[in-house]
Amino acid sequence: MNCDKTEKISEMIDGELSPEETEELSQHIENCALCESARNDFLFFREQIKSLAEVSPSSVRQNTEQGLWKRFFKKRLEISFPVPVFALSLVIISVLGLWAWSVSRKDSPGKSVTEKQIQKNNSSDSQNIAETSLARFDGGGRAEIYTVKNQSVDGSAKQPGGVK
Amino acid sequence: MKIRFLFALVLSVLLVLLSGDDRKSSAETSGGKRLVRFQVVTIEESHAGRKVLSETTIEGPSGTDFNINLQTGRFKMQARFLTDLTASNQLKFRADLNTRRLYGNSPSNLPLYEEDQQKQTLEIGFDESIVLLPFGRNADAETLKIEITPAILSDQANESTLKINLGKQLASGEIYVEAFKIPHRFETEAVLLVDGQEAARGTVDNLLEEPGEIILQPNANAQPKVSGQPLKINLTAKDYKRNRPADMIAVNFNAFRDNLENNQKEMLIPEAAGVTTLGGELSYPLDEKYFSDGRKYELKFKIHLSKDEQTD
Repeated sequence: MNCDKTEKISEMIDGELSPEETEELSQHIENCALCESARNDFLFFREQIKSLAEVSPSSVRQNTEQGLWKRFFKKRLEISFPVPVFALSLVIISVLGLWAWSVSRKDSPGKSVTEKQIQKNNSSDSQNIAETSLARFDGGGRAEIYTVKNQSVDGSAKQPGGVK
Repeated sequence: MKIRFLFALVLSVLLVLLSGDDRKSSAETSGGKRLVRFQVVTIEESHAGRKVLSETTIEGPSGTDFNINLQTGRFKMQARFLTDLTASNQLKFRADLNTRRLYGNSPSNLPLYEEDQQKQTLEIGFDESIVLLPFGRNADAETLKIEITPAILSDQANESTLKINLGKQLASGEIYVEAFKIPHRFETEAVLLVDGQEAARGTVDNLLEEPGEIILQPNANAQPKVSGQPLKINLTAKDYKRNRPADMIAVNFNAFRDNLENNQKEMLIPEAAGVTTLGGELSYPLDEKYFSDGRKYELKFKIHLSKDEQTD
């Protein structure tokens, strides 16, 4: 046996009905055993829910996340990398990185020294070439060719060399 | 008797061999294969004194030639020297000097060059040197001189003794010397053909780049007009080029008719040139130049190395 007004009881409890509808339904409940029973059940469940401890949604989320990370990290630390080994590997990696950096620093000063040396040699070669360049003799004159007697160091005529 | 005959035979053979050696050595002495050295020294000369800038020594058999090349930013010189040992123990230098200097730019902004060529033949003893002034004389400032001093090192040399020793060299590399050995002496044979038949012939010994005169002597088959007006040819072996299968030689010649009646020379061919292989034939048709009588007149030349020359 069903009553078509049972569904409105929960709305009345939640305060969602108008005052006229609430008065009308209250009068009906007095005459309807089924609706009275439904009203008693709805009130009971509401009381039960109110009796549970109140907590905010954000704090629930935060506590849940912290717990998860803690559990994850702790598990990982405990299972894959014990802390001393992890720290030691970090130290080794740092040392290797420092060594590689220092080696690269040593190379670049050497290269720059070599480059400087090459530049210095080139500039000295350029200077030598400028000093010995034959263009400095070019006064625009015409070439000449003639013969001379050979002179020895003391000014006397040089003897012909070799076998005659 | 038999022993005496054998002894005489051996003695005569020995005598023949000894006299052959004498002939050979005299041929060498008269300009053959003696080892000669040329010292090429570049000198800076100024009021302060002389300073040697570079030194190169060339050693080779007589007849060794060399080039002295100089190149700066604006100036270029090539001095070529053909050398020969003469019978009188003198050295004959045939110098060919070419210079080129950048003068400036034309109105169209194209480079303008000042060029000069000089040719000289110098004959010197071994107590003399040749002096080359690439930039001429400069009394006020430093002068660049290139001195070439020859010397004979020995009486025996072969073609493979040619070498260049580089002593002190310029850091700029603006002067470099190159040496080479090519034949200098040739024998040229000229033949006149009339309708394909030999009518006259002549020969001359040529020195490279020096003219030689060939007088074509008519033979018994020659016509009287050919005999009365023989051909004379001035031929110069101009350039010798190493080539394979045969070396090449370029010649310049002119030909004229020698009128024996009035003792006059008439130029027939003013300037002609040709290139032929050594030992090959060079033909030149005379056409109507010699005689316009309907006959075909043709000159043929053959050039060989002289007996005391040898090729590779």
